[in-house]
Amino acid sequence: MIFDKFMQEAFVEARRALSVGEVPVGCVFVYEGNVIARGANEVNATKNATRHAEFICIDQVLEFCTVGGLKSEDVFPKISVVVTVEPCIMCSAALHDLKVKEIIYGCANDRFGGKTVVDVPQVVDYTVKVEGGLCADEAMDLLKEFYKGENPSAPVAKSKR
Amino acid sequence: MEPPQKKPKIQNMSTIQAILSHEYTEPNKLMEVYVTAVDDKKQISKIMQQLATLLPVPQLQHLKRVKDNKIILCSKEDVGSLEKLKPFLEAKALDTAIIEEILQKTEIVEVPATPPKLRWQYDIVHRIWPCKFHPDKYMEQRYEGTNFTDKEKEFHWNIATLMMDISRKILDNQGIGVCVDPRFNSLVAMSSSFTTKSPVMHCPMILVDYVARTQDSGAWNEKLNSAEDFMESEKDSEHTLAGIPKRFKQFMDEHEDHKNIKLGAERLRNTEKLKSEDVQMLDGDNLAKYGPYLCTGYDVYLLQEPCLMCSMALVHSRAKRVFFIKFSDNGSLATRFQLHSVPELNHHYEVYHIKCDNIDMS
Ligand SMILES: [Zn+2]
Ligand SMILES: [Zn+2]
Repeated sequence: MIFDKFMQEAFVEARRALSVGEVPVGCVFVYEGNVIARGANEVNATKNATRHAEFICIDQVLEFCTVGGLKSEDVFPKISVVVTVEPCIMCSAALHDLKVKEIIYGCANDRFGGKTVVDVPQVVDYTVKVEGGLCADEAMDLLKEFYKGENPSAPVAKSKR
Repeated sequence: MEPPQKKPKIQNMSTIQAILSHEYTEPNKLMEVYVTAVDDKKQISKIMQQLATLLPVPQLQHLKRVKDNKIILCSKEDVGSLEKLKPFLEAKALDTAIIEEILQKTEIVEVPATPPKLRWQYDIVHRIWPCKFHPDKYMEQRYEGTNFTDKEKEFHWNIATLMMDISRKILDNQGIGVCVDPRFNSLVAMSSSFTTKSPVMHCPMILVDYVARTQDSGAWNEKLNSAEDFMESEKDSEHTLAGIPKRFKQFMDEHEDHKNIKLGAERLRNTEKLKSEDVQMLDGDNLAKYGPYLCTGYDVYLLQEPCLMCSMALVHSRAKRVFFIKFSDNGSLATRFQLHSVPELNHHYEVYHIKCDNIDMS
C-alpha cells in the first residue's frame, strides 16, 4: 500500500491542530483501503493529557464498529495507523494492545517515542510492524513551528509531546 | 515519671515500599582497570601530576585515583591486553622515565564502575576502592521505608483500605483508582475501568479524565455520562465534586471506616498564562502556586499496578506520586518495567507499593 496520500491526510489534521494551539500531530486509521478515523491532538481542549491523535482515532474506530455491527477485535488487526510523529510510549502501548496491523509515522519522537525511548514490544510482549521516516521533515517543521510559539494554554508546563 | 506513651500502631502494620531504580537497589557493577604500584611517595605525586593532565579518566570521576601505593592508570577496555599498555601511554605523551616506572609493577584490578548512590552501596564499594560519596538523605529514607510519618502512612492506608473495600463490595474485585490532592488529603476523583465500553478505558485512563472534569473539561463525558452518575457541587463551594461518581460517595457515606475521608478538588483558577521560562524554575510547587493543571501535584492511588499505556498516561498527566497495592502481570512500574526510571522522560513521579499481604484479598 502506498501511504503517501494517507500521510497527507494526517498532515491536514496536524495543521488543523496547530491552528487551534494544539501540538501539531495528526493521524488517520486506514481500514481496507479507506480512512475510517482521523484526528489530531486535543490535550488543551479537553484538559486531558492522554488525548493524543491516536486516541481520538481509537474512539472513532469503536464508533465505526458500533455503527457497522463489527467487533473491534476483528477490525483493529486490519488497521494501518498513519501518524505524522512517532507514537509516544502511551499510544504505542495502546496500539500494540489493540494489535493493529502496522504503524507508519513521519518524524521520530526523541522525548516520548515508543520506539526511540522505550522498547514497547519488549514490555508489552507483542510486536507490531513500525516504520518511520515518511515525510519526516514536513512533520518536524510543523513541530518546530509550534514550539517557536510555545503552547499557549499550558499554564505550568511545556506541551505534552 | 510515667513511661513515654507508645505511638499509635499503624493498622495491620502495612508497609509502603518505594519502587526505586536499579541504581539504588543493586550493588554497583565492577570494571577492570590497569593500576601501577609505586612505593616511593614522591614518585607517586610525580606520576599523579602527569596522569592528571595527560591521562584523565572521566568515567571514573567517582573514584579516588590512589589507594595506598596503587594508582589507577586507565580502564582496561580503553587499552586492551597488557602489551598494548606501553604504546598507549606513549601515545598520551607521558615522560619515558615515568612510563618505565609505571610498567615495572602493573596489574589489573576491579573497581566500582559507577558511583554509589546509597550508604549501603558505599559501604561495599569503599572497601574495594576509595570512593567519593554524596549522601542523599531523602533517598536513604525512601530506600529504608522511613520517608513517611505515621500520620501520612495512616492516610495512605486509609485510601488503600477504601479501594480494597469498594473493589470487593461493589466492583466485583475489579480495579479502582483514586486521585488525591495531598495538600488537603482530599479526594479529587475516583474511577473504575470501563473496558466493556472501550478496550483502552482502563481505570487510570478514566481517572485522569475525571480529573479533567474537575477542571470543567474532559474527553469522555458524553460516553460515560450514561454509565456513571456524578456528584453535584454546591455552586458557591470552593471545591468541586465533579470527579466523584455518586456510587462511591454513597458507599463511603454508608461505611463508618470511610465516612470521614475528605472529598473535593480545587477549582480552576483564572491565572495568567505562563511563559515556559517561569516553569523551569518553579517545578514542584506549581499546584499551590497556579492551581490545578492536569494532575500536577496530585497523588494517584491504584488497586492494580498500571500497564505501560496507563503508566505513561500518568507521566503525561504529571502525577506527583503513584501508589499501588497489587502487582499486575503487565505492570510497568515494577513487574515488567520501571517506566518512572527512564531518564529521557521529562517528568518523573515517585512510585510506592502498599503491601497488604496480611489482608484477605480474595
Ligand atoms: Zn501519544
Ligand atoms: Zn492500563
